[in-house]
Amino acid sequence: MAATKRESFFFPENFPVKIVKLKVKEGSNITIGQILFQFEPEESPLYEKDSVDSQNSNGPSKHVVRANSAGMLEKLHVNEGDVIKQGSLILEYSSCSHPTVMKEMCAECGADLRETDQRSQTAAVAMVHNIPELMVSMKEATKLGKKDEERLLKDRKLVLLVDLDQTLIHTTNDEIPANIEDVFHFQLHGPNSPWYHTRLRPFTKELLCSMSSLYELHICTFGSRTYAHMIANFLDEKGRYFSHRILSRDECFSAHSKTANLKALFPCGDQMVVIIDDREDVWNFAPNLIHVRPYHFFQHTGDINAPPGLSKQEKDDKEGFDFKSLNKAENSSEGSSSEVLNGSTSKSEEKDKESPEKVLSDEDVGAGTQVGGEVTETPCKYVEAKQDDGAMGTADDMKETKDITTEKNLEDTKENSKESEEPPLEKTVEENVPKQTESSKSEKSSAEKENGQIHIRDTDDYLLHLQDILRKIHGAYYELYDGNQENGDETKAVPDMKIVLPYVRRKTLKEVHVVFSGVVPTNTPLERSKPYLVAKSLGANIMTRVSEETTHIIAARLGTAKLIEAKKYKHIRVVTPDWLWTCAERWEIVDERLYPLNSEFAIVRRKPPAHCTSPDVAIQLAIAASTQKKFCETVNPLLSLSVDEIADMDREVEDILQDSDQDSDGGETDKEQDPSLAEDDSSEQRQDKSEATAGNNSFKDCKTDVGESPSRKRKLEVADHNLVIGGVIDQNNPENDTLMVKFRRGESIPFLDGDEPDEEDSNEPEIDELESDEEAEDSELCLAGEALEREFLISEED
Amino acid sequence: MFYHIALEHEILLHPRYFGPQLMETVKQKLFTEVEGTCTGKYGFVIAVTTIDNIGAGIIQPGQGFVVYPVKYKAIVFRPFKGQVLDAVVTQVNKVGLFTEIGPLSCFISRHSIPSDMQFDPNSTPPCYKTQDEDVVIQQDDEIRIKIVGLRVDATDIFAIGTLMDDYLGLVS
Repeated sequence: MAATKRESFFFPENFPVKIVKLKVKEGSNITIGQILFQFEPEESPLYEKDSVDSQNSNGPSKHVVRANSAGMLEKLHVNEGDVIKQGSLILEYSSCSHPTVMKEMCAECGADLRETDQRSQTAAVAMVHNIPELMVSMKEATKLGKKDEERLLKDRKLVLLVDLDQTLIHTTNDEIPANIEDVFHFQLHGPNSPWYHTRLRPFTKELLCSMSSLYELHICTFGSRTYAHMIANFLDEKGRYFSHRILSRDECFSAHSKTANLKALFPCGDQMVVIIDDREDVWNFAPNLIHVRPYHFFQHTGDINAPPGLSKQEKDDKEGFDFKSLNKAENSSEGSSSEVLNGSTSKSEEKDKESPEKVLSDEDVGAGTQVGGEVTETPCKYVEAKQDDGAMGTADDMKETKDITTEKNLEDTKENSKESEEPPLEKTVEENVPKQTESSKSEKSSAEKENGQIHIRDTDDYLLHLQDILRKIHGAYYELYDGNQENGDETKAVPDMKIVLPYVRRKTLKEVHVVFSGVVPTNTPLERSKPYLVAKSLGANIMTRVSEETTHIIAARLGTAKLIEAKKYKHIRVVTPDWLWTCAERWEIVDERLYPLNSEFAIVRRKPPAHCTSPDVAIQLAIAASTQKKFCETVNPLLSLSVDEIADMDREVEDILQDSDQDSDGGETDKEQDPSLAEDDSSEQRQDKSEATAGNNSFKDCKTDVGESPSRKRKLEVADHNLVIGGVIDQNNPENDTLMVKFRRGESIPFLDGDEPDEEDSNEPEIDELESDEEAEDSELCLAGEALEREFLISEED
Repeated sequence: MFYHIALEHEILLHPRYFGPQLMETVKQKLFTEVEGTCTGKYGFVIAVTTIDNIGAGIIQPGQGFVVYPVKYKAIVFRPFKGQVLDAVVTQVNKVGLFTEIGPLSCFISRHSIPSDMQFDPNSTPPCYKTQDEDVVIQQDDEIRIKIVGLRVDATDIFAIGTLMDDYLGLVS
């Protein structure tokens, strides 16, 4: 502390003594009651210990002087053997700098910091996960952090931050049957509070058990403290894995980000930290994050502890198991659903099975279909994995179609749930039954009952792959560490995980030379396309032409020139993009035979699922979209104006536009001539999970589009005008404003294309040929328009 | 330190309790409202021993509730700086020890733990122990501490303790 006072300590007794042994060193901390030195009386054998100043426990045989206040010893003025008398200066010390503070009270000297004028607290680092009141100073924190680091290195461990919701568990508040296997039921706030039902992801305990020897495990969750501790108790009854290292929402510094706490927990830096989470945004796309595939077990429930404002409903109805449908299915087809069929499932059957599902999902049948798709019993692991992926695909498609309705969901969940659950369920059951009879061999039962417990087949085996990934990282890290030690490279003694983790990822496809065919739209530069970035982050060598070196062709459809050329080389493997996504998910080269490209395989995912996006990709996207704010804000700055003001503006804008009608029409056609450009571009840059970002990205596109148009200048003038009236309009305004005007006139709005690129994908797998399809675009615009209108209404109500 | 002192408290009672059991209800309510609470001045009210006087109830105009002033004696626990107490360890971490002395929570910084005891995070549960593992302090152990600081609020007291004195530490 800068303002520490230097104080002196004088010998308190009134007779001379000889110092026998000094117990303190210069520069060390002294605390209240600590023994400073031992002495023996020099002349007065009748010496009776009667400490005035020193807090001495009276022991006639033990002659010691204790410190009466806390601080740092600056200078000793005596030596062993010296004879001192009363009033002689013994030492100087700086008063306690309050390095550890608990509830605004110094934990060293006991001073209440509220009383003193030391408002500027020296201790500001909350180092202990679950006690945010306990703060230590940066210096102290660094000391402790250093110790931790040394200990970890000695034990050859790393730190693993584990997210709970959707990573290791899935929790729902919905009513579910009480007797499902491996589901915990609990209440957090007394007997009348809502029930929580938590399902552990398959292999969770195995993961924790095997990883606890390689990693120090910490929980980092956005759940409340009671929730986090309750779950920790399920995961780890004896406290072996997590101990008290549980960070919950109550201790998080920010409601949207977990990154801020890292600095406090690891004051020496996070170079040994690996993170597993199902969301990248809360970690600010840290390079030391492994983005796991979200675990979804209970249908209609997303992440119940998602950070506020970040699409809580995002993955609702996405996939998972619907227990309502289970009950129904059991009632209607008791016989077929209680048996398990283990026949060997050939691939063609797989496809047969998948295609009806696709059809169903495209009709927006509701996630009930997933009962068939996700909860599956398959004999062969590879086939299972593939089917799993298929299910993911369906799920993604469904998410896309659902995205539009999400907002409706927000408005009237009740009505919607009625709509989306009831009729589709019936349909599902109907569909399920004929399907089961049709291909009675392959259609699997979703659940079986075993001594009163409903046993659910959960094919999620992601954690097994995650275990492998974590082992790989641990191995690579310590290999590097050992290398550094041998080289005696002191400066880089501890490798940085932010470098190691991407490095390990890059080793995945190191030997692979990839050519994309029909995956990246022709008008998008290859270097900026998502598949390219994903492959790059996996270390693949990406080539533009097929050659002798090429090992894989990732193709979205048959008959492309590159494919034909590839026939010359026998060794080249032809795979679908799904192969790449699965590699990205597992960090290993997956068997290519599982992802063959043949004509029957009609639906191909050209974009990686969200969890395959590597941080590199995410960072690029984040940078691309850096200036953006909330969807609503960017679209409509007018919301911050009063109704009258808006009406005023409307009139003026209308006037001006009547003059410039021709001009803006010109701009319009300009845009319409090339809608695909905007579309493809935006869909490439889009981040699957962040609508807002997507909207913003396309803003850029439309900026360039509109920017070329002759009416640009005119529109700017309009915007300027508004600026004068409203005075609250930001930089983006020219675009926003013209868009708003267009919207009011019922014209198409380019940015909305970017907003729901998902949708067009599910309808239109062929991105490249979108120009020809204007119908889809129109309907999509209608929907988007509705969404915008709703947003308008909501904020006006506010 | 424990004190046996006379205290006062006002009981607010709903009219539905007006009946033969009225006084009994007042007493019951006193127990539930007073025992276990904490005031900065007197400390924690541990137990009501006697109820000396229940004054005349005053019916609140307009609502019908009645207020009884009650005089009672209670045992209170008021910690003081410098006091030596036995505590139970509730949590052990790298910054220090958390303990409980009945209703009072107390924190002991690692600097206030004798320097021959070091934090060992690898043992389960984590503990502070000497080199030769002669003395091990872990969760649920009983230790003797001395209070060096108190934070007294209107409704709560928090203490800072130390183990740096003779006869402090593990109580065996």
